[in-house]
Amino acid sequence: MKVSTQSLQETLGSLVDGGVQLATESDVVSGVQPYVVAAPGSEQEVASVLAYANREGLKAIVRGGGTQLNTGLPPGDGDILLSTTRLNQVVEYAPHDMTVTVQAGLRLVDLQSHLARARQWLALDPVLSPGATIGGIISTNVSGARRLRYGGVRDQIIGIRVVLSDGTIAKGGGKVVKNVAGYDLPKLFTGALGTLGVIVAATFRLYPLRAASRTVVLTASTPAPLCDLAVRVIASTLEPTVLDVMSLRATTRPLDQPDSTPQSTRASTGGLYVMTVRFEMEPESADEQAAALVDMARAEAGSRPYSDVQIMQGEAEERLWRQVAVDYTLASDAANALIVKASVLPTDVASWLESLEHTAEQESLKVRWRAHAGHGLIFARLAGDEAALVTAIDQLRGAASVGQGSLVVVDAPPMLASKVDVWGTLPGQTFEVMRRLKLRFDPNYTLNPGRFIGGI
Amino acid sequence: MLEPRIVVELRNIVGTNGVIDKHEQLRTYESDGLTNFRIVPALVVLPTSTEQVQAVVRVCHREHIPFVPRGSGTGLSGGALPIAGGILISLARMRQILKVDLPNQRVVVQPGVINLWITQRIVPHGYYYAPDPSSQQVCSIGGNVAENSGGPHCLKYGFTVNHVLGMKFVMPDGEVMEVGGPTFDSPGYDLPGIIVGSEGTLGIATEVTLRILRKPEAVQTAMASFDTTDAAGEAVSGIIAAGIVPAAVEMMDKLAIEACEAAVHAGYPLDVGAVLLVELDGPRTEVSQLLQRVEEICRRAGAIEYRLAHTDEERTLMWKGRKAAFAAMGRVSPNYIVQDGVIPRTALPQILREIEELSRRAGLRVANVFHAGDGNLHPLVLYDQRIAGQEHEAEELSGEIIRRCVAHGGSITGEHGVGMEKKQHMLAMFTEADLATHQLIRCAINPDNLCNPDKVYPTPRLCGEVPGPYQPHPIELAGLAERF
Repeated sequence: MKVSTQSLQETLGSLVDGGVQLATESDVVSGVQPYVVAAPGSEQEVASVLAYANREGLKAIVRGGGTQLNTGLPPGDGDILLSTTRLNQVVEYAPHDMTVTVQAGLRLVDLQSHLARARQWLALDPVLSPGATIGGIISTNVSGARRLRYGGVRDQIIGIRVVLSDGTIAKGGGKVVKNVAGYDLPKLFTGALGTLGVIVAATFRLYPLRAASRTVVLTASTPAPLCDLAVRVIASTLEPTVLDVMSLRATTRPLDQPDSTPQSTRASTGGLYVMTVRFEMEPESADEQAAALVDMARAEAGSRPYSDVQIMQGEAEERLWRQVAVDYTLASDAANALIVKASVLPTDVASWLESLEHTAEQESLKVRWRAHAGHGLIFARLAGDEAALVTAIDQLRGAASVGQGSLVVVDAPPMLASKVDVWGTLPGQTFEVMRRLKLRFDPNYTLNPGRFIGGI
Repeated sequence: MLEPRIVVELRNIVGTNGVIDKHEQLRTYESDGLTNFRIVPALVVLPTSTEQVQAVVRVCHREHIPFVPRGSGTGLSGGALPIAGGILISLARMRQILKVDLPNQRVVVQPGVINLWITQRIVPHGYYYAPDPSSQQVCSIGGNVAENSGGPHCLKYGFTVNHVLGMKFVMPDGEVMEVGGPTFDSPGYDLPGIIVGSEGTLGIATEVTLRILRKPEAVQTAMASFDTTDAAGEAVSGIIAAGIVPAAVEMMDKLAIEACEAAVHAGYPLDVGAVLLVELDGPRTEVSQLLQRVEEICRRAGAIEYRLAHTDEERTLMWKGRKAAFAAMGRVSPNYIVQDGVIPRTALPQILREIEELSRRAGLRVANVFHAGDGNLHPLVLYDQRIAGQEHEAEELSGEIIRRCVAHGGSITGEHGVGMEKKQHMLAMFTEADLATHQLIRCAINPDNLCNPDKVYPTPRLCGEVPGPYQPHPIELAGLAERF
């Protein structure tokens, strides 16, 4: 069959009630221009669209809020842009069971404000634009600073509904936290980048919001002493929710000042690197733990060049975290910039950061990074020359793999994404199993073709 | 019977001590913790290394001999039940803790390592391994990985799957692969996520990288007793509603309390309807503040007695009763069936009333022990095998409880697994399409279905050939691939 854009639009229009449009330039995904955008209003409509595409040999790219479309390799092809934006309902919220079931197109920010009314939250805090949806967050397995205490997507998700490329609607897990019936489909789909099926709904466990918050801020002229302190913190009985070390290099104002008073970072803080340690718990314990951390830092002040040790709370603390969210949003903001995620052991964070700073200097790259030093995930924005970035990615991946870590490019403009090694390579047998999974779930490569590791 | 040449080949791989072929010795392996299914395997082999496991599995694959992996054999759903004519691969000789990395909070262990050994090894340094199934003194990490084991403390700290970072894994065709690793977010699909909890149907883990946790500053355990399970349930609801996440909340009803007391003298009050154990951990000040709130909530819900464990000994004793609960049933009944169902926690009062009604109608006693914080019930159906028909009635009753759990939106198993026992219940929870989709995973990894066949899924999906490679895009072929 020969497919024209018009007949494609007509056919999909008959399958999706009022949710099909011709694609425009704003629907380009990593350089690939789909013909039509289909926004199904139900999982049955998702199934109809996929079954049709799969039968006709058409390719579908899945889009949630579109905030992380630069994750992964550029798609090999894409005829239909399948948008989940109309699947945006809270299906079932059981505050007393502390679980919630939502459709995939619901925005995380909307879910959090819904849950906040019952003083609960989904314990995921990726630094993404407000448009980010639940389905996208699951598919990219993106996580934030509080993963230290609460775990990542895989630790919160307890149930999932998916549509496979042949139109099969299937579920895995359930809506109770404790459940070992059947293979763990929710985890298989976490981080699968939409290559196995389209997520239409998911169920999560929830946590209560904490009573109080304090943040200890320390600065230093090199990252190493801050990373050392982080390792000592996780070996202690302190229970921070956040344990970050950040480069202040690119920040134009000190973190604790209102947005309207830009001034030289170096002048106000006495250091280029900042550590933020957040305690969220009952107020008395938060005070005690923050004070204990300050003592821990000062106990070695003779040999440890920490400066500007301070405890923040209230409005100033809120401002600090808002600013961090602005400075470290996970989206490349320039044609010559990309964002990598390195994963290393906590004791290897300092040496990896040293490699990063060294590579940046050698390759004349601008870098800005945020290291979740307590759990070893580091997000770094690198900007510069294309060839330099290609070299830097290889070097930094090598530095991460020394301690059995990894590095992936999580956001890159299409031109860069096709040049740098986005995923790295896996051992042959491990990759072979992933390829077989793909072939079982989506044998025709109908979904997000070529975006995932090894071109899956 | 296996051909003698195969037995010789296996003996060459694992040594004479590593092969069991005498019928009397083989009978030791005829069942796991679920003893109403019994099958004597053709042979038991006990490898001591990844290479030996690989070589044994290669023989099985080449000869099309089905095989079943087994840890300590404490599983309660028949997951390690042998296959008639098949080989049982016991990992009990792979018992080394290979690596302890305290600063990064990681350990690497072989599958035969006993759960509790890990904590015993690291507790002097202030660390512990969180998943703590009641059988932790004897159950193995390999078995924990297969079953995604939980335990009372998974309420706050999660299940085995939340603590497994990586594995060395022997696939059913004998290939060895590394999945995950010591760091988070290994690129690619979450293979550890699907292997953990797959009940030994995807292959054999021969090395497991686990997260360990720093011991919190304070741990406090309290016991409260109530007239009724309803009142105890109200206290649990109150605790959750107050935004408190306890490390554990356990409940026992009157019959369970009596049995536990008879067995281990944990000091539970005997003339009450329910006992609640509540454990909080974390920063010392917070724990004592929140515990005061827990006490208020319990008293408001009508607690008859509220008691705090003041020493480690008192705390251990409180837990000893609970952890001995299943075995303690022997004190009050000749036979019993352990059930493992889950409900949304708020459905607790209803399900308990339903169980009571079912128990009364069947004329069989049911003791209730549960992880009340997460709605995981362990109703113990008591019966006497010597009375004709009573075992069947007990099975019927136990099965009906599971159907009721599903009707409340829960699960047929919270931690014991599906195994042999609950295959038929899978259709109460999942559609045919769901089950067929799940089995795409098995088809990708265990397509010949030689590794622990006939477990978990009621009707094994036929896998067919591996689909072909990437196909060119038809629109491209048709010359219609216009791009803006």
